[in-house]
Amino acid sequence: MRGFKTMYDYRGKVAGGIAAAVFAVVTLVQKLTHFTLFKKLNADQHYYLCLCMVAMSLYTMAFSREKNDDERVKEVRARSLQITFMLFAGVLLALSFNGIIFPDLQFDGTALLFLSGFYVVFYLVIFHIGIYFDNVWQFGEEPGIWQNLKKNKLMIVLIWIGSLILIELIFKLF
Amino acid sequence: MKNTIKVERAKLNITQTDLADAVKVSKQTIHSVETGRFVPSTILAMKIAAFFKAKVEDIFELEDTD
Repeated sequence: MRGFKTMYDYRGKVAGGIAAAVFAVVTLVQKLTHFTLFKKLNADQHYYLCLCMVAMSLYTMAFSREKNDDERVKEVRARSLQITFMLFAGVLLALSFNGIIFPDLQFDGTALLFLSGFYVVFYLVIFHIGIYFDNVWQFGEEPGIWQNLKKNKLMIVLIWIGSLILIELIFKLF
Repeated sequence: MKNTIKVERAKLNITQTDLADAVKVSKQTIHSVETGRFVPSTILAMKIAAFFKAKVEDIFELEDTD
Protein backbone atom coordinates (compact mmCIF):
# COMPACT_ATOMS: atom_id res chain seq x y z
CA MET A 1 0.00 0.00 0.00
CA ARG A 2 3.04 2.27 0.10
CA GLY A 3 2.88 5.19 -2.31
CA PHE A 4 -0.91 5.00 -2.48
CA LYS A 5 -2.02 8.46 -1.44
CA THR A 6 -5.39 8.26 0.30
CA MET A 7 -5.45 11.53 2.21
CA TYR A 8 -5.27 15.19 1.27
CA ASP A 9 -3.15 17.44 3.47
CA TYR A 10 -4.55 19.84 6.08
CA ARG A 11 -5.43 22.45 3.42
CA GLY A 12 -7.98 19.95 2.10
CA LYS A 13 -9.73 19.96 5.47
CA VAL A 14 -9.87 23.76 5.59
CA ALA A 15 -11.05 24.00 1.97
CA GLY A 16 -13.62 21.23 2.51
CA GLY A 17 -14.94 22.91 5.66
CA ILE A 18 -15.33 26.28 3.96
CA ALA A 19 -16.95 24.71 0.87
CA ALA A 20 -19.35 22.67 3.06
CA ALA A 21 -20.42 25.79 4.95
CA VAL A 22 -20.93 27.77 1.73
CA PHE A 23 -22.91 24.99 0.02
CA ALA A 24 -25.01 24.44 3.17
CA VAL A 25 -26.06 28.10 3.01
CA VAL A 26 -26.73 27.79 -0.77
CA THR A 27 -28.83 24.65 -0.08
CA LEU A 28 -30.88 26.48 2.53
CA VAL A 29 -31.41 29.46 0.22
CA GLN A 30 -32.40 27.12 -2.64
CA LYS A 31 -34.88 25.31 -0.36
CA LEU A 32 -36.48 28.61 0.62
CA THR A 33 -36.43 30.41 -2.76
CA HIS A 34 -36.47 27.44 -5.24
CA PHE A 35 -34.00 29.27 -7.50
CA THR A 36 -32.60 27.51 -10.58
CA LEU A 37 -29.35 28.03 -12.51
CA PHE A 38 -29.46 25.34 -15.19
CA LYS A 39 -32.39 25.27 -17.61
CA LYS A 40 -32.36 21.49 -18.02
CA LEU A 41 -32.74 20.85 -14.28
CA ASN A 42 -35.83 21.56 -12.19
CA ALA A 43 -35.86 23.07 -8.66
CA ASP A 44 -35.82 19.68 -6.92
CA GLN A 45 -32.81 18.59 -8.94
CA HIS A 46 -31.05 21.84 -8.01
CA TYR A 47 -31.78 21.14 -4.35
CA TYR A 48 -30.27 17.63 -4.51
CA LEU A 49 -27.32 18.99 -6.50
CA CYS A 50 -26.64 21.47 -3.68
CA LEU A 51 -26.90 18.68 -1.09
CA CYS A 52 -24.53 16.59 -3.19
CA MET A 53 -22.01 19.46 -3.19
CA VAL A 54 -22.27 19.66 0.62
CA ALA A 55 -21.64 15.91 0.86
CA MET A 56 -18.64 16.15 -1.51
CA SER A 57 -17.15 19.00 0.53
CA LEU A 58 -17.58 16.96 3.72
CA TYR A 59 -15.97 13.99 1.95
CA THR A 60 -12.90 16.14 1.17
CA MET A 61 -12.86 17.26 4.79
CA ALA A 62 -13.16 13.69 6.10
CA PHE A 63 -10.27 12.38 4.04
CA SER A 64 -7.79 15.13 4.83
CA ARG A 65 -5.01 15.03 7.39
CA GLU A 66 -5.10 16.89 10.67
CA LYS A 67 -2.69 19.77 11.27
CA ASN A 68 -0.70 17.53 13.61
CA ASP A 69 -1.44 14.07 12.28
CA ASP A 70 0.36 12.01 14.93
CA GLU A 71 -0.02 8.37 15.94
CA ARG A 72 -2.94 8.99 18.34
CA VAL A 73 -4.89 10.75 15.56
CA LYS A 74 -4.15 7.79 13.24
CA GLU A 75 -5.44 5.35 15.87
CA VAL A 76 -8.63 7.36 16.46
CA ARG A 77 -9.10 7.60 12.67
CA ALA A 78 -8.68 3.84 12.24
CA ARG A 79 -11.22 3.11 14.98
CA SER A 80 -13.69 5.70 13.67
CA LEU A 81 -13.44 4.22 10.17
CA GLN A 82 -13.92 0.72 11.59
CA ILE A 83 -17.09 1.73 13.46
CA THR A 84 -18.42 3.64 10.42
CA PHE A 85 -17.71 0.76 8.05
CA MET A 86 -19.36 -1.75 10.42
CA LEU A 87 -22.51 0.38 10.49
CA PHE A 88 -22.39 1.08 6.74
CA ALA A 89 -21.94 -2.57 5.76
CA GLY A 90 -24.61 -3.62 8.28
CA VAL A 91 -27.18 -1.18 6.89
CA LEU A 92 -26.38 -2.17 3.28
CA LEU A 93 -26.78 -5.85 4.18
CA ALA A 94 -30.11 -5.11 5.91
CA LEU A 95 -31.27 -3.16 2.83
CA SER A 96 -30.23 -5.95 0.47
CA PHE A 97 -32.07 -8.44 2.72
CA ASN A 98 -35.19 -6.29 2.45
CA GLY A 99 -34.64 -6.08 -1.31
CA ILE A 100 -34.71 -9.88 -1.54
CA ILE A 101 -37.78 -10.27 0.68
CA PHE A 102 -39.67 -7.36 -0.90
CA PRO A 103 -38.76 -7.31 -4.64
CA ASP A 104 -40.92 -4.22 -5.24
CA LEU A 105 -38.70 -2.12 -2.99
CA GLN A 106 -36.92 0.54 -5.07
CA PHE A 107 -34.24 3.10 -4.34
CA ASP A 108 -33.48 6.23 -6.30
CA GLY A 109 -30.30 8.30 -6.54
CA THR A 110 -31.34 10.60 -3.69
CA ALA A 111 -31.51 7.62 -1.30
CA LEU A 112 -27.88 6.86 -2.19
CA LEU A 113 -26.97 10.50 -1.58
CA PHE A 114 -28.49 10.48 1.92
CA LEU A 115 -27.00 7.06 2.67
CA SER A 116 -23.45 8.06 1.72
CA GLY A 117 -23.79 11.59 3.15
CA PHE A 118 -24.98 10.25 6.50
CA TYR A 119 -21.93 8.00 6.89
CA VAL A 120 -19.49 10.79 5.98
CA VAL A 121 -21.11 12.99 8.66
CA PHE A 122 -21.20 10.07 11.13
CA TYR A 123 -17.48 9.43 10.60
CA LEU A 124 -16.60 13.14 10.94
CA VAL A 125 -18.55 13.41 14.21
CA ILE A 126 -17.08 10.37 15.96
CA PHE A 127 -13.56 11.10 14.68
CA HIS A 128 -13.62 14.67 16.01
CA ILE A 129 -15.15 13.59 19.32
CA GLY A 130 -12.29 11.06 19.54
CA ILE A 131 -9.48 13.52 18.93
CA TYR A 132 -10.76 16.68 20.60
CA PHE A 133 -13.37 15.88 23.26
CA ASP A 134 -12.90 12.31 24.39
CA ASN A 135 -10.47 12.82 27.27
CA VAL A 136 -11.83 9.94 29.33
CA TRP A 137 -11.69 7.37 26.54
CA GLN A 138 -8.87 4.89 27.12
CA PHE A 139 -7.11 3.80 23.93
CA GLY A 140 -5.59 0.40 23.28
CA GLU A 141 -7.10 -3.07 23.61
CA GLU A 142 -7.88 -2.80 27.34
CA PRO A 143 -10.22 -1.94 29.05
CA GLY A 144 -12.52 -2.50 26.07
CA ILE A 145 -15.41 -0.56 24.62
CA TRP A 146 -18.05 -1.38 27.28
CA GLN A 147 -15.92 -0.09 30.19
CA ASN A 148 -15.06 2.99 28.13
CA LEU A 149 -18.74 3.62 27.40
CA LYS A 150 -19.49 3.41 31.12
CA LYS A 151 -16.75 5.97 31.81
CA ASN A 152 -18.11 8.31 29.13
CA LYS A 153 -21.76 8.44 30.28
CA LEU A 154 -21.98 12.24 30.14
CA MET A 155 -20.54 12.39 26.61
CA ILE A 156 -22.97 9.69 25.40
CA VAL A 157 -25.96 11.53 26.92
CA LEU A 158 -24.78 14.77 25.25
CA ILE A 159 -24.36 13.01 21.89
CA TRP A 160 -27.87 11.53 22.17
CA ILE A 161 -29.42 14.91 23.02
CA GLY A 162 -27.43 16.56 20.20
CA SER A 163 -28.48 13.89 17.71
CA LEU A 164 -32.17 14.20 18.68
CA ILE A 165 -32.02 18.00 18.28
CA LEU A 166 -30.27 17.60 14.89
CA ILE A 167 -32.83 15.05 13.63
CA GLU A 168 -35.69 17.30 14.81
CA LEU A 169 -34.11 20.28 13.02
CA ILE A 170 -33.59 18.29 9.80
CA PHE A 171 -37.24 17.16 9.80
CA LYS A 172 -38.45 20.69 10.55
CA LEU A 173 -36.29 22.25 7.80
CA PHE A 174 -36.68 19.68 5.05
CA MET B 1 1.94 1.17 31.34
CA LYS B 2 3.06 3.72 33.92
CA ASN B 3 5.31 6.65 33.09
CA THR B 4 7.10 9.50 34.80
CA ILE B 5 6.67 12.12 32.08
CA LYS B 6 4.85 14.52 34.41
CA VAL B 7 7.65 14.29 36.99
CA GLU B 8 10.34 14.75 34.33
CA ARG B 9 8.47 17.76 32.95
CA ALA B 10 8.24 19.28 36.41
CA LYS B 11 12.01 18.83 36.89
CA LEU B 12 12.70 20.74 33.66
CA ASN B 13 9.80 23.15 34.29
CA ILE B 14 8.33 22.67 30.80
CA THR B 15 4.70 22.47 29.67
CA GLN B 16 2.94 19.70 27.73
CA THR B 17 3.00 21.99 24.69
CA ASP B 18 6.81 22.39 24.92
CA LEU B 19 7.26 18.61 25.04
CA ALA B 20 4.71 18.10 22.25
CA ASP B 21 6.57 20.57 20.01
CA ALA B 22 9.90 18.89 20.76
CA VAL B 23 8.73 15.39 19.83
CA LYS B 24 6.41 16.64 17.03
CA VAL B 25 3.05 15.41 18.32
CA SER B 26 -0.06 17.25 19.55
CA LYS B 27 -0.55 18.45 23.12
CA GLN B 28 -3.54 16.12 23.45
CA THR B 29 -1.30 13.15 22.63
CA ILE B 30 1.18 14.09 25.38
CA HIS B 31 -1.76 14.50 27.78
CA SER B 32 -3.12 11.06 26.82
CA VAL B 33 0.30 9.42 27.24
CA GLU B 34 0.92 11.15 30.57
CA THR B 35 -2.39 10.00 32.01
CA GLY B 36 -1.88 6.46 30.72
CA ARG B 37 -4.83 6.61 28.33
CA PHE B 38 -2.71 6.10 25.24
CA VAL B 39 0.27 3.77 24.95
CA PRO B 40 2.85 5.41 22.65
CA SER B 41 4.70 3.62 19.88
CA THR B 42 8.32 2.60 20.38
CA ILE B 43 9.45 5.53 18.25
CA LEU B 44 7.51 8.10 20.30
CA ALA B 45 8.61 6.50 23.59
CA MET B 46 12.27 6.71 22.45
CA LYS B 47 11.83 10.32 21.33
CA ILE B 48 10.35 11.26 24.72
CA ALA B 49 13.13 9.42 26.57
CA ALA B 50 15.78 11.09 24.38
CA PHE B 51 14.25 14.49 25.12
CA PHE B 52 14.67 13.88 28.86
CA LYS B 53 18.15 12.37 28.23
CA ALA B 54 17.06 9.15 29.93
CA LYS B 55 16.55 5.51 29.00
CA VAL B 56 13.08 4.40 27.83
CA GLU B 57 12.75 2.05 30.83
CA ASP B 58 13.48 4.95 33.20
CA ILE B 59 10.48 6.86 31.84
CA PHE B 60 8.10 3.98 31.04
CA GLU B 61 7.38 1.03 33.28
CA LEU B 62 5.27 -2.05 32.65
CA GLU B 63 2.42 -2.79 35.06
CA ASP B 64 1.16 -6.21 36.15
CA THR B 65 -1.90 -5.79 33.94
CA ASP B 66 0.23 -5.15 30.78
